[in-house]
Amino acid sequence: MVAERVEVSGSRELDRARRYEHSALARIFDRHYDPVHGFIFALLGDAVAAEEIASLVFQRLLEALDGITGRGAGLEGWLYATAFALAGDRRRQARPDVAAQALWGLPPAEREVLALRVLAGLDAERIASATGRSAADVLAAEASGLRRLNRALKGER
Amino acid sequence: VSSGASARDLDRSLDRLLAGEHLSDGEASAPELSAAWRLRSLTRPGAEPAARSLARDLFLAEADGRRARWVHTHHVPAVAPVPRRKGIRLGQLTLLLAALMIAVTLGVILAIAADFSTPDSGLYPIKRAGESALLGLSRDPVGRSDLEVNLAEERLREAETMAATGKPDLALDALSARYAELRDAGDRLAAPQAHDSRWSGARGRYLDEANKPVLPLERELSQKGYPSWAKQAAGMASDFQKYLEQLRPRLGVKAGGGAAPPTQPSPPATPGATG
Repeated sequence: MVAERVEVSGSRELDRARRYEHSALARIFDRHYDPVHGFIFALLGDAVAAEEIASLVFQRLLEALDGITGRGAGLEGWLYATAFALAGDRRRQARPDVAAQALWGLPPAEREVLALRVLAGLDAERIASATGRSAADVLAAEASGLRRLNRALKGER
Repeated sequence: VSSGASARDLDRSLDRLLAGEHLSDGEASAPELSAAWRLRSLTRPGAEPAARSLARDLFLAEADGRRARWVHTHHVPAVAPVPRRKGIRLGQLTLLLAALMIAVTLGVILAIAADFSTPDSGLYPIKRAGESALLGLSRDPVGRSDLEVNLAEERLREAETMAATGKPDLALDALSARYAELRDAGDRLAAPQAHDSRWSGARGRYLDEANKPVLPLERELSQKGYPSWAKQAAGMASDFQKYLEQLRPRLGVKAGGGAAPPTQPSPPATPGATG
């Protein structure tokens, strides 16, 4: 789930991006495209899907820039939360790794939190801001999700 | 509370795991962190350069299109500054007229006050300056001599006033100015010019004024205890009478005071004519 109003860094770079300045947007793409692509690939295990979704994430970014305000999850929070949401739509056609399959088998809140926390490397506060949850809910989903994931990976129920 | 604290501990341990830091034996054996490590270890190959390049081109092309629309939306048309109106505005005109009216009023008051001033007044220089200006404006010799006669009459009145108020020095100054005006007027009337009826009238007024005695003034000065000043006044009058005797023939006046018919000035010599 992506928070309706994601707050990202209010840096000067982002201000320029909001005005669709070519150089600022080129720098954002160059910095974040590969990590986002890798994040999607880890979730889906499909290079083509990862390329398509990564490209779509950046197209969506252009639409979202107008509503983005400073502070909170940051640009990364928005990018990974959006990538995760788009990857979820494609997971049924994908053949991911066992660990990723186990992740998709978790309840929605837990799998989203774990994906953003472990695969994207965001901290609990940024995940809370990006997903519209409280930090306590994020920590609880993280703990229960890891326990459930461990059981799933061990073949437990 | 215990569950929350445990979740925070787990989160801190997860932080260290994701940062690649060393975990304690207890943390390393935690099944949750083991699962996290499995997830973290999922392979993430880099994007194909061609696919990345295509995505970049699409992204930036879309961005450029949005940029063009953004510029169009945020375009503020240049507005030429409103030119400043030339000339005088109504407010300025009102102010100017008010200032002009005040200046004119003050000028009139000052001129009237100066006209009644005497040589011992602070306004007297203004009166004399005004008279000089009037003389300067008068280009006609007859008219100018008439004006000088009037001024000479005014000087005599001033001299008598000063004598009466015990200011003999100012009285003699006025008397001296009177004779200067009369001399100037006399010379002007005696200069070659048409001796018409207008000239004759001016000559008559001149002689009337020039012949006025200064005995009243001398008497006033003597009575006020200034006999030497009275003597000086008599001397000035005597000097002027000598000048007047010399002037009379030039004005066509017979000895003894009768006015002779005005003599026409001799015509200018014709160039080339022989005597």
